[in-house]
Amino acid sequence: MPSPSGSEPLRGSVDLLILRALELEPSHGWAISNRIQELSQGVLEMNQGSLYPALQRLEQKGWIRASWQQLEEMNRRARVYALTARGQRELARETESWRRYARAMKRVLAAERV
Amino acid sequence: MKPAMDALRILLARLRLLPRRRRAAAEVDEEFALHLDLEAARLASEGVPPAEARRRARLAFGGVERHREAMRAGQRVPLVETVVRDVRHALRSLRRAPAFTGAAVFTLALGMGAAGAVFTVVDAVLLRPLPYPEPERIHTLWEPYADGRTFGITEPEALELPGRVPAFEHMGVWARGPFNLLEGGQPEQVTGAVASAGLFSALGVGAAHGRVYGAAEDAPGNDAVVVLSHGLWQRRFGGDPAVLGRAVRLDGRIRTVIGVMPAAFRFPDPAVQLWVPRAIDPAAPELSSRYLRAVVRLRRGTDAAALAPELSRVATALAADIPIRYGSRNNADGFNLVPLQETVVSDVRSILVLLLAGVLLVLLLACANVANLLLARHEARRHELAVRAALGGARLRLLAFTMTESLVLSATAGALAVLLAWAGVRAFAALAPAEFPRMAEVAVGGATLAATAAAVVLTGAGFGLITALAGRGHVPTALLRGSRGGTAGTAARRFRSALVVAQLALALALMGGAGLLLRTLHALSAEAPGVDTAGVLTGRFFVPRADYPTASAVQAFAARLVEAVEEVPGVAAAGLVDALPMSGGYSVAGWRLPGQARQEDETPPQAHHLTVTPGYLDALGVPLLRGRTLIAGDTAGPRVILVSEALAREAWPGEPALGRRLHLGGPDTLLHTVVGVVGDVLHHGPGQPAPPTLYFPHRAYPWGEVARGFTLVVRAPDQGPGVLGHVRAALQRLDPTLPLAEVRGMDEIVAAARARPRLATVLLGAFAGVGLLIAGAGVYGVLAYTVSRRRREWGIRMALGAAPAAVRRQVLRDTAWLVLAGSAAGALLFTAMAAALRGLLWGVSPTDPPALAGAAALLVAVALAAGYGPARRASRVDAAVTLREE
Repeated sequence: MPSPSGSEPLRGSVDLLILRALELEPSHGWAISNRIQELSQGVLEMNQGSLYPALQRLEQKGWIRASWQQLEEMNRRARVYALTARGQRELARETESWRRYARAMKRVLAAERV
Repeated sequence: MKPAMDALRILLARLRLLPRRRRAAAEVDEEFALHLDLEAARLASEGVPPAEARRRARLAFGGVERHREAMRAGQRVPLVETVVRDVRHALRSLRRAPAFTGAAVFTLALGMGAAGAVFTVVDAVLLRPLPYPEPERIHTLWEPYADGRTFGITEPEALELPGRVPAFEHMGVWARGPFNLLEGGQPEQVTGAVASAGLFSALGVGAAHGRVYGAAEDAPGNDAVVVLSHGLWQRRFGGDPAVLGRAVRLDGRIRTVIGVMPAAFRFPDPAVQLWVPRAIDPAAPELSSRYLRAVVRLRRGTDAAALAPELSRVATALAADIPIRYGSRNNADGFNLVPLQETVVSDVRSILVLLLAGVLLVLLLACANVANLLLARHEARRHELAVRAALGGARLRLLAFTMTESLVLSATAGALAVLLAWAGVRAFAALAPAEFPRMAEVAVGGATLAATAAAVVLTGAGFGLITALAGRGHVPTALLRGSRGGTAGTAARRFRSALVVAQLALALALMGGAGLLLRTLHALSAEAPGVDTAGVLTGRFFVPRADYPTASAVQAFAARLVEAVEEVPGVAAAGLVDALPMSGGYSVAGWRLPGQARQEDETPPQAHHLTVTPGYLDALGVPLLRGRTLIAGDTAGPRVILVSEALAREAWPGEPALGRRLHLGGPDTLLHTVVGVVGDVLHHGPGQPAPPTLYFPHRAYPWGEVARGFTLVVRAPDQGPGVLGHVRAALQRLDPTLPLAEVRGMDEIVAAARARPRLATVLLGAFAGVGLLIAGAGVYGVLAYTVSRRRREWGIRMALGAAPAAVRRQVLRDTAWLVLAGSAAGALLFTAMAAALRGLLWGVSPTDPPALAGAAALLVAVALAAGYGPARRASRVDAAVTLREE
């Protein structure tokens, strides 16, 4: 797949992206990666496979939980991930700290131009 | 905090994943495949040709193998994997040294297994609470006498106490007794208990089927009910539930079965198989006898010790309210409360504590031995370890590996030990006397496993540390250079010798203890019981009130029976007694010399008190020393008694007793004339002083209820097998409903009484034997090793002209030093321990020289035997061969 921006997401933000994607609705891996691309309008793109170790880590931390579910559109099953209550809390916390960071960055960059 | 929590969660999640790793890998593959397919399908739906779509999907996904490896890394638990690898390695390396592994595992398993077995018994009998609800509230109640003995309580006290002591939530009384059961087969005498309804509520136990009786049925006239034990129900009634409501004939009385107790209910002891109401008549209680045992359940939160003043007040009030009668004394000193658990196990506590101490010594011994084996092996492996260290094995990793290896060793031994403990517990149950308390609750279970696991961890870690410490300070380069490292380090050798000395000392202490018990057994069996047991048969029967309501009916029956038995061919003498020597159960009577003022508040001297028929003394072989024996005519006229020599000595020291008179009994005392003095009998068994004894003629027994429970004693010196059958037949002819129970030879009874300390002796002896064996193996091991290490030295010596005998002597001299040091240390240990044995000894002092000397001699013999093999081998070293090996 041609990679229009080639921009790798910042380290650590993969977790946030996954949590955010799952906050909308529980999904399987491919759907999560698809959603992240859609939501970021293709800006945030990553090596799709690297999503899975991140999912495994989040599951082990108890932020998300996984279960095998039958896919409606085809005769296969998929491992579907969903946010846990803990994950929900972590998402809120991470979002807040990311926002603070972004605001700070913005201020710094705006100041430079003066 | 948070990252730590997350790390813990991750660890736990990965541990959960461990057992299903293969499946997890397959699932990862499935997940990846689905992703690729979906992505390819998406591209295809945008018009990309299928082959190109698949290629692009894989490209976007990134290296499948790389991601798969990342997933695997995310499932790994590094510590566990290292441990698994170390365990595998340890198992392999232990398998490669089967002789070492076998010896170490077996020794350790023996020690831990024995310890596990004893611990299982100690835990079940001494430590675990009794199987009743809130058992700590249950106490037994005793009446203390000034001389320190304690007695049961009287019927009036049983009636009065519950109402007078508010802290008693429930109180029950009971007395064991024989019952003739005529139901479901042959007439049989079974042991039962007459027990008040309060017994069940005090213990807090109900019936498994039906119900137990309540206060309403514990009253005269209303008490024709019986509760069966589970065992009796199974045995006599085939476990038939329809037994409830059935009428059974017990001692000539019809009673209705109203309940069956749970199988685990064995109160007051396993022999008791049925319970009937005591039904004390409040209008006419039996005043004279303290025959009732009492058990109380205290109200929640009551402190038993704090009750003492109140019990003393109650006792004083009772003494004022209840008239004093013969043989009893209303005690103003109060009552003693003893926790039920203590009452139940008091007889066996010291034995169990001794066995626990003994078995811990064996375990220590085994550990010392295994430590020695490990050290020897470590020496032999110095080269391998040095190579590992030189190749960069981290010190910590090497330590971890050593630890793992010794833990694997301990764990293997632990698994074997659990099996040994199981066998040991079974052996203990088989060996223990029937009355050993709580044996039914003894089983290998969680406690055994936990204790063994603890032993595994402790020994494993200990061995690991010792080995690691021994390996400390090895300089790899030096070791690698001189590959055959001529002599072991002096410090290591000293340490190993010290371990052998410790083993010898422990073995000596164990053998000394066993020796003391053995000497006690010997002293007990050497003591004359005061009866002639040869050819004497005994059997019990009980004459029920329903069929023989009056004293004269009982006495007439007794006389007829004795007559009939005397006519049996081969019977030389026969008689009846109410309490056979060494069989438990007896009564005491107070006596006073004529002319001595009676003191109200003083306990009169007490005497063991028996009612007998004239033939009894002849039948049992109690010698008549002076005067005459009892005759059938001793019924009317002056009241006559026989006294034992101990009583004669106490009452009339230095004077003849014949013709003297004694006041016997309480306020309504009766004067009795002594017509004969007989020999002393060890009524309470060997090891207990022969009590001063009074013999009353059964036909002229003056007080209270006539004795109804008898032991028939028959002397048939050349008894053929037929005598017992004829005796039984004689009883059956007189009354077919009366069974003869507990038929035993008098020699069996005496042997059983002498065997009291046998359990402790046999077990401690077994421990000592095991200890000796291990210590012998230890001596052998260390000498054999030394010899093999010093072959070169001896080879040179002999090449230079030393005689083989001199070399042999040198090795034996080494042995002698070890034994000498071990014996000295062992003697000290033994002296320190022997005091604890005092309670179990009789007729030997705790520092009995023969016991210690015998133990030492045995130790020396075994050690020298163990040293002989290596000594011979040393003297046969071929100088040429050893020197060539270099």
